Amino acid sequence: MVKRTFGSDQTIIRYLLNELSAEDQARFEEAYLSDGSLFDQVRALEEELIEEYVKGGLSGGERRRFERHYLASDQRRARIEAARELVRVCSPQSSTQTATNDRIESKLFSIRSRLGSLVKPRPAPVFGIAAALLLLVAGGLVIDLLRLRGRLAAVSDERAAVERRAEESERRLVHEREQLAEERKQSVGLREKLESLNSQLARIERARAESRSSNNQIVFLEMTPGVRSIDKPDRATISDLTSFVELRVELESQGAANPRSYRAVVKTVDGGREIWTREGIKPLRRKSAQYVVVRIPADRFKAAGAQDFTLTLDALNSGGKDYEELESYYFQVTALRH
Amino acid sequence: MKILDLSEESFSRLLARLNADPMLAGEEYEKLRARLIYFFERKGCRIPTELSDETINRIARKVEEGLEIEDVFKFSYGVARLVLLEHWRDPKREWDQLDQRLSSPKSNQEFYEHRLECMEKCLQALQPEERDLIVKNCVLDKEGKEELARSLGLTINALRIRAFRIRTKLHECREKCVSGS
Repeated sequence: MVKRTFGSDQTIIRYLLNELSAEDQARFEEAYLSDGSLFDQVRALEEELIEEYVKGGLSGGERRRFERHYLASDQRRARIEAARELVRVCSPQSSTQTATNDRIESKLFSIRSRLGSLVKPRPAPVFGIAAALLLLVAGGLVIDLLRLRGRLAAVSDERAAVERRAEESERRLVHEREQLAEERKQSVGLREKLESLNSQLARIERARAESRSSNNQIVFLEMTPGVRSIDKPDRATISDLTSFVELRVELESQGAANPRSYRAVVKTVDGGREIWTREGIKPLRRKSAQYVVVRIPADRFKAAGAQDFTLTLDALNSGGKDYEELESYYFQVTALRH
Repeated sequence: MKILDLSEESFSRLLARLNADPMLAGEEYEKLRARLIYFFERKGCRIPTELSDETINRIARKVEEGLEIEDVFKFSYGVARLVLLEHWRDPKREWDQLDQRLSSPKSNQEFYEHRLECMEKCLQALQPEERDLIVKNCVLDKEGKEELARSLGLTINALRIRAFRIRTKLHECREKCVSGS
């Protein structure tokens, strides 16, 4: 039963959204047909409901029920369209404005409306109209001026903030540039120091190598069978202080019972000039290996004016008179110049 | 369903039954008609005006026949329901509805702009106070409307009804503007 609550918004909305039972609906319709104030309420609330729908103010369920009923007929759709147009005309900016803005706008609209109505000729004293008009125009101008001032202040604040940010960025940039220049300077200094250290190191290395060779009065050169090669010759470095170059040749196994006598001949590769020779060399034995060791004066190599040499090793034959060539070794001797 | 004609005499009796004062009787008649139109509209009828007139004609006949009617408005509901039932059973009704649908205006952009212009024009044509009320009522939320009602010394219902009446005037103006009359 809805009899006692016919006039409540809730009942009216339920009727409008077809939520009442058939019986309550009949009672309600009979009531509004005979009760003018209820009828007006229904119509007024219906208009509001349509407007709320247009403004998107209905809940999901309400919207669905509303659409089921109101979109079902052309006439009702036309009413929705009319409400939509009214909402659009009343709030042309947007429906998302805040209520406060809406109130302000509507107040301004009211002022403008009143101003518009005053423009129309009326049977009132001309001066009175003019005074009122001037007052309203002045009022409107003051409002506009205040708005513009507010906007100007906002823009000025924004500009000041932008300038502050720009100054800060500029300062930061200058500081970073200075830091970069300082780092570059340091980098150059460090590079120079590194180069200096590298050259010092190179000098030390060279001096060490020189001292290693020069300090040794005897330079040793070991020649092992099977490793003789023109591409990678055995090499010795001699200095002014070097007295001898000792060449050690490992012999292939000859048998311990019959040690032989050997001859060593050193020649330049270029021209085959003999710079040193010795005969009757007895091999040395060390563990199971036998060696021929010859000590050649360094001066011979220096005097030869060459770097490439050969050592020819001959063995005395069984008759004890002639030598037979056993092997030749290629080696290099480099003399350091100070 | 055949729409019955009503004689001038029957109509005069009905008016007298509505109110002894001919001026007020006319107003009562308009109220009755408006409510019946609304009722038929709510029921989804596409010819609510015709059905409303038919209902009033039948009530007038009953008055002419000498039926004692305590409350014409209340009595009208029963008659309206019968008219509605007959209308729903009427095969011609579908054709009426189809005709209505075919004759309904096409909603294109140009027409929409025209309707907006009409709405704007009619809004401007309202009295400033009326326009102010309509605009405020349109943009304010529920709390805003309550505040507005208080500031005007009205109840929310009274404000709503006042806004409704102005809107009715506005929509009538708009309808005339849109149809070009």
